[in-house]
Amino acid sequence: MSNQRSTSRDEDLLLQDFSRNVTTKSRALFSGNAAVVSAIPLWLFWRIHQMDFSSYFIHFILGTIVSTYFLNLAYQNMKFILKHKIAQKREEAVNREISKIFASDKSANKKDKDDRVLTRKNEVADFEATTFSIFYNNAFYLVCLLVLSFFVLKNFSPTVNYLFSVALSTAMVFLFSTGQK
Amino acid sequence: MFSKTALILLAFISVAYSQTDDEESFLFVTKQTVNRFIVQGKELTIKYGLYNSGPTTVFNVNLNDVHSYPSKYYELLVGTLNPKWERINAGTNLTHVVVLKPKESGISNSSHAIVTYQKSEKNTEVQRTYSSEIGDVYIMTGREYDRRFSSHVIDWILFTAMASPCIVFPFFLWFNSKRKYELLASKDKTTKKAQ
Repeated sequence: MSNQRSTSRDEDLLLQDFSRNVTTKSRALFSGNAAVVSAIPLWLFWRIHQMDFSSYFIHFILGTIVSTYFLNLAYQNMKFILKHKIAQKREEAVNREISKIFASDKSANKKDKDDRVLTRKNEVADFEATTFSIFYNNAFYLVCLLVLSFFVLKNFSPTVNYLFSVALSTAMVFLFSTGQK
Repeated sequence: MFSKTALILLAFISVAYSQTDDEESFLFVTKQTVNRFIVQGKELTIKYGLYNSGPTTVFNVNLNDVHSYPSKYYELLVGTLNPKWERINAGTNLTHVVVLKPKESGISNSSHAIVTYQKSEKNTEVQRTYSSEIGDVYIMTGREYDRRFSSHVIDWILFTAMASPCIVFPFFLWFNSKRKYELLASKDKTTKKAQ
């Protein structure tokens, strides 16, 4: 009976480790970040390209929604790829960390210790992958957007400028996140 | 014979009276804008040059360009569109500057200015001449001008301030965690080696 419970717990842990699904907290974090990063360039377009909100309302809303969605996907993709790489790298360090904690506690058995190591490794890899994914995708998106909007598409009309720079930079970030091994 | 003499006399007299003065001056008038760009709501400077290249003085010079810049579309800031001068001496020239402010944007055509003058003080016959024209000009909106030319330094600074937390904060979190675990791993490696 307890055996079955522990195996199902192991399976859950494994599933969590290998699944692409993100927890609610993670999802909220990613969506929030994507929305903020998609909204910040609007200020630039308003002030520098002189695109007032009343006449470009539809474009802005559409652009923000599309880029939020794809940025979100890019965050998730990159996090999933990175998590495994980081987990492998951190295995030893996490082992040491947990050993230190368990060194004083003699009643713990190896099984519990291994469970703790796995959970902790998961947590650390999750955290690092999340933060790195957010940082990298944000930076890449903003740089792409700035280069496209203020250098490449500088002399086009504001509408074309906004739509193409948002679309192309979103596409680049998304494709890059799916392409990595 | 009398008729022949009369005829010849008549011919002489008519030639003497009809002979025009060869030495006459003509005024050349140029009209140009000093601006590189014409922007709605910003100043537009028009410069008229009147050149008397001939040997005599011209009198009662009157330039009229009111029809090119109706007050509905242009606000007159400095100068007058209908200046008058008593005389322009031979071989001299003068310039007249008018500063306007366009009220509307789009393509605008400003035609010739009309200049009238008398060739001599006594002869009140008025000679009319036309200036050169500027032709079609594009008046851009203030918004377009701002978009192309103003420096936006403050906007960039504020954008950087807004965007930095999105990039710096996650980087900081990731870097801290990475450093902590790499230190842990490397510290244990060195202790292992020492053993």
